[in-house]
Amino acid sequence: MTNHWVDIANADRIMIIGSNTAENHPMAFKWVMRAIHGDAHQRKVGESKAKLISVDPRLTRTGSRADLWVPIRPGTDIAFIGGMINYAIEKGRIQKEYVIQHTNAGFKLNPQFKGAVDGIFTGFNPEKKQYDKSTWSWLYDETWQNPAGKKLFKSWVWDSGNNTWVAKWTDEKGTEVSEPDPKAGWALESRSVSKDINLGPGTVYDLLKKHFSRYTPEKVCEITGTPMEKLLRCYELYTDTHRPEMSGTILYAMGTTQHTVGSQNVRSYAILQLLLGNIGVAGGGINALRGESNVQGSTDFGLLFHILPGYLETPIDTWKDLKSYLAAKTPFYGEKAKEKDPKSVAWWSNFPKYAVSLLKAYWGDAATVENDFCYSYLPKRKTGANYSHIGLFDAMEKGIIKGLIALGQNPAVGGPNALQEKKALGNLDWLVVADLWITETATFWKRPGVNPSEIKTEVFFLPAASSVEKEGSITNSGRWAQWRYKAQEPPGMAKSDLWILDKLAKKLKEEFKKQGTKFPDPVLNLSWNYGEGEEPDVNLVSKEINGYYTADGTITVQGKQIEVKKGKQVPSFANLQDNGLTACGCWVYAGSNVNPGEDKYAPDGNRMKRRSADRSNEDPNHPIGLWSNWAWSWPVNRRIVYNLASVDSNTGKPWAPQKPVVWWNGEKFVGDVPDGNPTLPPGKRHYAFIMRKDGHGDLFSPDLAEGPLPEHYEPVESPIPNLMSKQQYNPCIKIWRPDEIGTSQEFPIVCTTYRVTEHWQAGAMTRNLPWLVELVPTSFVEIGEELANEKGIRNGDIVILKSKRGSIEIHALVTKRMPSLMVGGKKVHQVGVVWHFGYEGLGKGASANDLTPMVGDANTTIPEYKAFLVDIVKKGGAS
Amino acid sequence: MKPMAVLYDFDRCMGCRACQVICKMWNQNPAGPPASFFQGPGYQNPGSLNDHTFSVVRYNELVDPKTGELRYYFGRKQCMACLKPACASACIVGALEKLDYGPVIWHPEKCMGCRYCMVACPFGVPTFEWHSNNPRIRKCTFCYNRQGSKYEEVGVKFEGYSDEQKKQLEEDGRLMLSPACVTACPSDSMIYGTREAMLEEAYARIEANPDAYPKHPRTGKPWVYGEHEVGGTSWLLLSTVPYDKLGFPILPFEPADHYTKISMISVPITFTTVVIAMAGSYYLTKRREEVKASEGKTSKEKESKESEEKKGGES
Repeated sequence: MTNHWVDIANADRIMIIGSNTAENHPMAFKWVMRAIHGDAHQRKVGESKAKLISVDPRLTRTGSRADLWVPIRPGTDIAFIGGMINYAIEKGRIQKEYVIQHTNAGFKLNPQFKGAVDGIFTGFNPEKKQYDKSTWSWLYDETWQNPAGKKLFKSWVWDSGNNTWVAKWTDEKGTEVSEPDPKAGWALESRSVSKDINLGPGTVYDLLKKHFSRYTPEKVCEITGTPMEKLLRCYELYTDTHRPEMSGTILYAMGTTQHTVGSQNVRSYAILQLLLGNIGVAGGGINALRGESNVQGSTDFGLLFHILPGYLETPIDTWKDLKSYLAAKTPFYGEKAKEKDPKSVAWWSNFPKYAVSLLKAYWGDAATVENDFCYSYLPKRKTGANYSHIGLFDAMEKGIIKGLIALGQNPAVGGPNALQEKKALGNLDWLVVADLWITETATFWKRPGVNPSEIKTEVFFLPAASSVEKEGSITNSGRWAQWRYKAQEPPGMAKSDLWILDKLAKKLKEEFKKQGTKFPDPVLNLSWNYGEGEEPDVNLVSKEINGYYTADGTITVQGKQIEVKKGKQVPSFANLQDNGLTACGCWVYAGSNVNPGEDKYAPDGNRMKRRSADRSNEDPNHPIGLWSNWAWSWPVNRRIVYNLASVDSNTGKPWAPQKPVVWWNGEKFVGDVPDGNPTLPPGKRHYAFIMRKDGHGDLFSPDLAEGPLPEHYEPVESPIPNLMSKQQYNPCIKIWRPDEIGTSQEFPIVCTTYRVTEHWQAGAMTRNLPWLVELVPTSFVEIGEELANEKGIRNGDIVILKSKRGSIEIHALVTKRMPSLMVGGKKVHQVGVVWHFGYEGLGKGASANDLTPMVGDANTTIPEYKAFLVDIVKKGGAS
Repeated sequence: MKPMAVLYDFDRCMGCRACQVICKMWNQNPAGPPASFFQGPGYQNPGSLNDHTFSVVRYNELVDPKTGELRYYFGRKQCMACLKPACASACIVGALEKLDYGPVIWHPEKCMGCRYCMVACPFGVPTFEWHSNNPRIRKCTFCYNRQGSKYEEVGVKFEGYSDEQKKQLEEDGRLMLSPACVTACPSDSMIYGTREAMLEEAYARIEANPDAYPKHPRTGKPWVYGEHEVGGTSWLLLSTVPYDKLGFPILPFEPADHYTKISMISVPITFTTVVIAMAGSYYLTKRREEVKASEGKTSKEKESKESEEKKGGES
């Protein structure tokens, strides 16, 4: 989340797309309801009147509370949002001043970039399924200098005859000169982004306008199946927030991300929000509702295959030493420092400090300058290999991976193409499952239809403590790290995850020391100091995460020299160093657990324990409610990120004065924690988007695999040809099992999967609780009345639902709430399946993921669970 | 102490059923049959209040008369805790008692099992343990055993209040534990306080958006369900959808005990016919379940057919 849960109550428009907040995040929906109705306890009735839009294939419990429910075919978000971007631009419903100041709309584009031609952007290599991104760039104004101190300036002018940018060199007097010759001693002195504040031809905005002009309302409705009248009502309602004093928030979840274009779906939301001036403001933002209470925390700490803690990329094999790793990941590294726009902070230029501090946290005294801080110990990814969930199970199936530890994960129910994944588990030598209950993964070897004697995998089950049976921090979607205490002892032999890992690490060290192994050093030298008690001290883990000084020394922070003492906690990531003087387990958490006495709300220094009810630091009645001293949020307790975009950068005045996030009080910026030095006055400050290389919100972004702008592609399994271009699906994805992709002739019905309030993820925690099983006793497929009539299916019938991957027997719930849609000139039926169920526990039922495809997004490989094709027949024929 | 009430706003309810679960937790009621998940619009389970379910969230599909669009509405049903409860006045041994702060509670030691209360209740709330040899009348107690406790008794300290303020808090019921369902609601669809304050809040919500709310079909005035119905109830309902569409009948304003008196004349007939009929029905259902169980696996299809037949009869 760019914002946080409580901030949703500050919104004027809430668009929930790809999420069913009321059902899957009921506690979050509290804040939506407060936005709609006004806080039942704190505000006067009727004071706040936000409008809620639910964009969803189904009329859900979220839709039931919405002012507008907009049906959409699964997998067509880019068309839907692309249409809204086009609408906003056409009708002039963008917050223009914000767009000029804070986004890269005015950047002059590299003229070699030609946009999308028949669905393919410039630079595509069809064999590698990869883009050469060299033209996905913009131009810079430059200042050159010769040894005599003379300066020349390069700028770019539009050549309307040739539709291209032409470089213009001038001297200090403004006279046009020829390009300087480096051989004559001329060298780059500094450069800054070349911007056309009129957003004229050749700019990002110009391209954006052209690109999305193809997404007309007619075209969008044909793709998404949304009725035109609802589409336009939605567009008008939401783009109301282009007014500076209004804000709109987009809440999304797995309905957005679990597609082969998942990342680009989110990009399309970001572009829309930037155009409407909704990023960095109260009641705005791009807000991912994370699916589990601590999934934000787990992402922060590098649970995914491509990142180490603190979003540092995991090294690949071509980055052989620390320097090549740092050079690849640090913008403006080394001699390139001159290329940085002086007004851009480009925060990632601090990458070396965070990477080295992490290595120091991993290997302590063993990590020295001489040995590259043990960089060689870090496992490296093979270039081109895929280590995502899909990739791992593929490797298990091929016998490459021999063992698996599943901590609180149940892939036999939750994984894509789960039939296949269960087979892959049978190829392992050993499997360890740690969970609260016996899961389908733990008993995959005796699942219905298999002979246990044929499965050789040795399976261990470790009973685990639940969240209330252990102490530690939990980080919610709004990046708030909150300390949680142990309420009771775990039952029986159940142990905390930390206990399990502590014992494992210590045992490995012991065994490696005793017997040796090929390369024992990374384990033997691992810094592992969490106490010698039976239960490791979680506070020591937290202290290491925050970071500490490894020796006495002097460091420079914001231009000031300070003395530091060995063993003291660092107050913030600004103090981290790249010379080994600091160790830090996760740089974004620096400042979460400081020295005792440094924070009056946290006596022992652990700021995650703070529980002050003041609405902000300055003002206990702060209108937007930052709750700055309740828990601690990363980064540096900032509650709304990019909050300097909420003010006019020339004056420091908030766009929406009635709900200010930060503001200039004459001496400094106050309110939320602003980015950078708060005393730098408006007009003289750096750009607002400090994490971006050039300091602006990216309308045009070279970061993603499949293009600098989102383009609509159909899901891999789709009922119609792509109406936007000849490119049927995302050109950059890998199809893992081409023979397992179905066609619309064979499987004409669109299927999506989802969760219900009453159950939790793969179900182990809820399908064993009688009260919850009573509410939703078994798995089911929701079928529209029209399709049910066609197939002779009645409410409660058992039906056979089949995809190219497999088939399941499941109860049918016939409903008005799942409409059929007119798509591409034909009627398309859609169905939805809950995916919580399996063959273990009290509440049993067919697993929806036995049907889902093993394809994933080109950037993250998140599986395409949310849009695939099926067919449905009534069990035993028509009756 | 002042009479207490819960204001339940249908338009803030998102049908999550946290209240239904916490109700079972607090009352230690088990989960169990019958299953009705696949009936009507689906999801609702059980289909109605029963001896182990004191509150149930009902799912309704309606076509919004203003927009012509399909709307999906949810609403709780539980004992309304009438101010003048018909069940209590129908009870000839005084086993049902109205407490001054709201709850209507049942005294097992007095009850003789006649079930007049079930017949008398205008909302069809009390249920009976037909399967038990020592059956009880079962219904929501308005959490009298929570409301009866004070926060201080369970270790919550009220510091920084003057004696006078504390007295006021006590009088307003603010020192008491609220009913379990209220504490579980994530969306503030239920709030708890004095009946007076809850009515005030209900009218304030109507006033803020007067056109959205239905008028009472007889009086033509703004309609807070439970304000006047059968003499008033401790549950006050507020909805933009007319209450009768949500399963709450249009009832007279006179207390139901007026009618109970009349119905008492029919006691002998009720006693003989209703009891025989209900016991017979229970036996038949039970027998059918036994047969079904003995048939083994094939029974699943039958069950779904049966539930289809039952569909429509329950709301």
